This record gives sequence, C-alpha cells and structure tokens, in this order.
Amino acid sequence: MDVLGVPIAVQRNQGHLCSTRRKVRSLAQHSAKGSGGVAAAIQVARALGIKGTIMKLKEGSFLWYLYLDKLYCLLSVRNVKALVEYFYLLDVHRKKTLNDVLFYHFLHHVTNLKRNQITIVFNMLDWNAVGEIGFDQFYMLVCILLARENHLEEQFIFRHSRPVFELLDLDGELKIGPANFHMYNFLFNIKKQQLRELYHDFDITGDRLLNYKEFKLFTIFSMDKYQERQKAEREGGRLCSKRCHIKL
Amino acid sequence: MEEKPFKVRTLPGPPHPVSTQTHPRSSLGSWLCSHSVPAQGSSQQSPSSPATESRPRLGSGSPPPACSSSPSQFSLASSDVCGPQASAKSSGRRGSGASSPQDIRNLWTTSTLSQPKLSVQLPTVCEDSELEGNSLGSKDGGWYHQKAGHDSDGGWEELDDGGDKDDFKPEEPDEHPLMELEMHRGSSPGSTLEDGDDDSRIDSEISSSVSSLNIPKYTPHRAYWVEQQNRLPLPLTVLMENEALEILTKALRSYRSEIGRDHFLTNQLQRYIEGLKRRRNKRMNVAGL
Repeated sequence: MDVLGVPIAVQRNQGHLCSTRRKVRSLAQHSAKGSGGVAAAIQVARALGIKGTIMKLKEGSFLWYLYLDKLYCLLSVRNVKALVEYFYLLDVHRKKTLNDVLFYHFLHHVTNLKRNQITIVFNMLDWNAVGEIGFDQFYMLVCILLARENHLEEQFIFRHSRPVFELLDLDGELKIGPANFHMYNFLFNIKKQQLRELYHDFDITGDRLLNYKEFKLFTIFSMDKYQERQKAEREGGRLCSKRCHIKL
Repeated sequence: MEEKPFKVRTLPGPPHPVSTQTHPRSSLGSWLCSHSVPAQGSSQQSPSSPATESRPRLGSGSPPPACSSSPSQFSLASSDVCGPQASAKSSGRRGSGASSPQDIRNLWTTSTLSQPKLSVQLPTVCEDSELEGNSLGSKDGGWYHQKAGHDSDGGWEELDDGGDKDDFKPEEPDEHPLMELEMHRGSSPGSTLEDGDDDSRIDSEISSSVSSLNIPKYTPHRAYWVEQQNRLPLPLTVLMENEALEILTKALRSYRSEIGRDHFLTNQLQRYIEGLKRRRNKRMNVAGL
C-alpha cells in the first residue's frame, strides 16, 4: 500500500527499512574510515535527498496550540491528555498505533516536511520495523517538533539526552556516526560547524563515533553555549534599551 | 544565572539502567512518556524563546490572553486556550467566591447561556447519560480509553452573582444521577463513531453544560468538580476532529489507490470518516439552533 512502507505487508516494509539502514550504515562506515567524516555525512544526506529545510508547524493546527515547557521540554499533563485524544482520533483501526500511511498524512498535514523526511522520521521512530508507531513514539515526536518550532533544540537534547541518543543510534550499536547526526539535522538543527566541533572535541575514543558519555558531554557543552548566548542577547537588549532611553 | 566558564563536568548520577546489556530503544518512549510537566508555574525560570511568546497555548501557564468578546462564537482563542487555564484558575479560587470581570469563566458561562437548550430538565439529562453509558460498555479497555468529553468548564459560581439567577432558577438536583452522568459520559471523541449513538453523545455534551449550570454554588460535589476539570474544551475537540477529518480523508485516498476500494481497511476508514462527519454536522446543527 504504501505511501511510506506497508502497514499491511510488514515484510515489505522491513525490507525497505533494512535497505535504507544498510545504505546509511555503509555510507557511515565509509565516512568513519575516511578523513572527512562530516563531509561524508553531508554526502550521505545528499544521497538520501535530505536538504537542510527548516521544519515549521502549520499555523493553527492542533499541535501549534500545545505548549512545551521551556525548562523541562515536556508537555503538561493537560496537554498530554489532549494529545492522547488527538492520537485516538487518528487511530482509525483501533490498534493504538498509527500505520505509515496515517503517519505520513498526519505529518504532511501539520508540518512542511517532505516525503523523504517523513520517511526518515518514521523509520527513526519505528525502530522495530513493525510498520506502526505507538503513542510513546508519537509523544516523543510531538515534543521534538515543538522543541524545533520553539528553538529549544539544545535544551531538548540536553534534557532528554538518553532518548535522543537512542533515536539517533539507528543500528543499536550504542554509538552514533556523523551521518546519523546529519540525517536528522532537520529535526535537531545541529549545524555543520557544531557537528565538526562535536567530533573534534568530544570523540575521546577516536573512533569517529560517539558513545553515550561523549554525546552527553556534547549536550552539556551545547547547553552552556546556549545559556551564554541567551545571556548575551539579554545584555545586548538591555544595552540597546539604555541607549534608546539616553537618546530620548 | 551566574556566568561560568565552560568546564567539562562529570555525568550526573549512575549510568542509565538501560546501558550495554539491554536493547537501547527499550526505554525510549515510556521514559519520555512517563514524564510530563506536573505544574506550569515551574517554567518561569527558563530562558525565554522568541517564537513562543506571541501565540496562545493550551494550558501554557501564562496569564490568560484577552479572549474574544462574542460569547457565542466558537473561536479557538476563546476556548481551547482559555479552557484549561480557566479550569486551573477556578480550582484555585474556588473558595473565594469572587470573580474578576475578566474572569474567563464568565465567558464560558455566557457562551453556554446563549444556547437554547438550557431549559432541558435534569431527568432528560439523565436519560441521555444512560444511553451513553450503554454505548460505553461496548468499548474495549485501553490506556487511552479514559474520559475526555468536552469541557463545560466551571461557571456555576457566577450564577449567584448576576441577573442570570432570575432567568434560570437553579433547581436542587440529586447529586447521584449527576455523578453517574459524569462517570458514564463518553470517553474519547472517536470512541462511539461506529456505534451509531452519536446523537446521545452530542446531546449529553450540551446537557453536561446545562447540568453544571443547574448546580448551586454551595453543592459542588468534589468528584463532580474534578470530573469537570478533566474535560477538554469543546472547541478544542472541534478543532481536533476537523483536523483529523482532513488527515483521514487524504489517507482514504491513499488507501483507495493502493489497496483498493473493497479492502476491509479502506471500508473501516470510510465508515470512521462518515461517523466523524455525522457527528460534526450534528454538533453544528445543535450549535446553530
């Protein structure tokens, strides 16, 4: 059936996923062996047809009205309750899941993501390749989308470093290559420069792959930088207002 | 916050229980899902974000925005945003008995008062609830098969304040039928779509607002109050349903083109969409009366 994979014929879906993952893995391994890991990662992303588009939520959609707590990067219980109802409305077949077709149309409706990006997101969430995602994954996705929309990516990655690491770790090897990072750039907004710094500064083991501890260090570092940036912006704003006041 | 030079810190706490031995994704969803922000007030210390300041949010904890002044309007800004905030506020102010002129509950009350079915008597309400209770029994249990219904948030506290008292003459309802009504009321918006009792559901959505108006100030039952707080605002539900309808209609096209018109999944989706449409039309008719 398929817009993305196949909810009915799971085997086909699994084949599709496996081939995608194999492709990513081989390219990632290639990039890890070569000298320019980040450049190769970008090559991988290009090969998969991913460009650095800015993900936007559709204004006025249901998700647009949800509030992501800025400190914890989570929804309130009330919001989660509303989201459960929304998920239940979309769960047409009463299996407590969304198949890939429903998922595609949902994400296509509420965001400006392209087809291949939606496929990547679905594959990321449907790690077991069953062709469906449950509410847990759906909730995770909504939090990521809201974090992206509200420019809270650093904070989100810092707060939820373990689940994010697990999402990025496509092969389950407990290590992340630069290709994976770049592939999800449209979700987590990790820029090229950041990616270079990340592997230059935090790849302590030197295998061109990040384990969880290295990744955690990166999130702490990013968070510190984010807070410094926020502080600088605040001070800049204060100075500007003072100047305006003096001029008046 | 004090500015510190960056230094590498050690990882907080012991390693994650799901480390090298178990499957890395085993804790993914449930970990995040088990976390939700318990109270909105805690977000005040967080750094500000430019994109989140201007738009209304569902239960954002910020001061309630100025809502639309037209009471009968089904505007989103006045409802799905205000509803949760209103309920959060009203639970805090319950004992005070005084409401400010800009209290959001006034808006809900006037909005509900504008509906013509307010003269419905309590026995009618109870009959509706019995109908619905029957339909609920057929549903399979699940973690999200919890009560949701639609918000008929608070509002009875205002009855004693103004001239509404003369118009509606609140009766002394028996608490137990009301409690039963609230306990048995529909679970989630899509739960009864294929059961064919949309009518009773819509009726009870309206009548639940009525029932809340009929309760005098001094007799809110605690469980009833809690139940009222737990409901989603009606316009939020309308928004959700409309959006779901659009998504599902597109999905139906995909189903038809890929697996065929006669496939049982296609038929199931089609029936579901028709049910949603019926319910939406019914609600619009009730609102238009």
